[in-house]
Amino acid sequence: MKRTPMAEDHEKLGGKMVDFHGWYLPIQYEGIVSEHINVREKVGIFDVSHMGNFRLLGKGCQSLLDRVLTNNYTTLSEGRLKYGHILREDGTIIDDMIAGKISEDEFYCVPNATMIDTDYQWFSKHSEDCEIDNVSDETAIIAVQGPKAQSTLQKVVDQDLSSKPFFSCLSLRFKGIDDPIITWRSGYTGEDGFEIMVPYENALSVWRSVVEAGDEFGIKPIGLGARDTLRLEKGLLLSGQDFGGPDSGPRTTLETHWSGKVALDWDHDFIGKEHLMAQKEKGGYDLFVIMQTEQGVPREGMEILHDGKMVGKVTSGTMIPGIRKGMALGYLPADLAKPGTPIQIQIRKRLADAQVISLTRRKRRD
Amino acid sequence: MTDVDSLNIPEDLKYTKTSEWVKVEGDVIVTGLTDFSQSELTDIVFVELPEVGKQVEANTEYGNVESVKAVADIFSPVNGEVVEVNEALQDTPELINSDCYGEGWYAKIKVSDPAQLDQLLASGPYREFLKTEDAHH
Repeated sequence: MKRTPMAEDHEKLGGKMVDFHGWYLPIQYEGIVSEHINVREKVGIFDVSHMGNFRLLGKGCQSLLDRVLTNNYTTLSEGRLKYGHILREDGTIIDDMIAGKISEDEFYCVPNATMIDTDYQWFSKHSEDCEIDNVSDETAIIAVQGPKAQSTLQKVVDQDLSSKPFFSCLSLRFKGIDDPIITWRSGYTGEDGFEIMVPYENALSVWRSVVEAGDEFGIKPIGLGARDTLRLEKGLLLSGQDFGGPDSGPRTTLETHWSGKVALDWDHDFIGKEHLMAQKEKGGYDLFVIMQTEQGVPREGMEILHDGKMVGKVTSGTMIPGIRKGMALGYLPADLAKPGTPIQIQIRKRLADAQVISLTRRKRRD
Repeated sequence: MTDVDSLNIPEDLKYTKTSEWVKVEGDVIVTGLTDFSQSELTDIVFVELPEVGKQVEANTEYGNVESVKAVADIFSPVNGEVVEVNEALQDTPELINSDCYGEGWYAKIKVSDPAQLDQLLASGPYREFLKTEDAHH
């Protein structure tokens, strides 16, 4: 198992350590429920060093990203981030990632942990005049998430964070560390927050200084268990599970978009675009939905029924701490993929009433 | 991994190998999940109770509890009939975490074959059993 620079600190903090896709990481510390609530109400710190890190350098990196991702990176401003999907020729999603623009010829991308090699090969295959530096094995990622994330981080960095909007790509100097560190205002919890891409040699020092700075705001270390419930509550997709997973099957960008409101004003060419246009034209495809149960905990693989007929499968499910409702992600035929549609989920021997709900958008708390 | 020596395993109760505890009150038993169960499961968020009147069999699943990450079956320690269930668990499943031998009890079962009670483990042997591989299924 690979160990991150924070492994010993996780153990000292009472982390329940597991083998997570080959990484020695904490599934929880004091408990998923209290950790989840702490991020919603205060602030939490996560070690997500299993995630990948690519540095793209050269005149060709902008056109590479335009080609391999569904979003346009030429129109992206310096110092900003954009989310996109990497598609196969047939429009199905290989992986999703955020890329940040440092300058015209320098970008930074964070691929999903299990997709690092696949994404690297795909990028290499389509790149011209762009050096792809896979620094995943020497870079830790520390996420600081929650309404008190800014107040916490502000104490240990040199720039005024209050003027940096969500999805900023920053280069910050941390107290006691000479080199600037790439820091994004982003996250996977639906809260305000930051993700710090820090080289291994400085990672533990950053981790400890953030933990100390967050003490007055009630910061807690958060394990991968609460990371999953936090993202699920906000309907954020998990690569290899909500698309490209055993229960989801391959899915296209159109299918993953909530309520079918996909702007088809793609102003650049990318791999898979033709198939998306054709799918849009033809219609009749499933749509991604968020569902809530009144009683019982939905889990991935469970069947979704409407009028007694199976209409889909749960791709992610759990009990959401705080609101104490079962929530599930999955895909339904377009006519059912509307908030308020009553459905049922087969939870083992019991049919549980549920309904499609609308997404709770992230609230900015500056 | 749970530190077995630090677990609370009261001496006045009996135990199953599937980590339920049993308190005998005449011809009725009170049963619930042990400290080992609740600490392995972590935060319990949902409890499915059997119906009162249900006929149950020893070592057979008759309900379940769910933590955020997992679901676990609950097994009846004896043959008998469910005579009462802990309705409080519907709204406050975390009682199992906070007080597994008290307010977090699961069900009361009228025992039909008292000889089965002799098969249950005492506190010491149960703790020893937890240290073996078999307990960590």
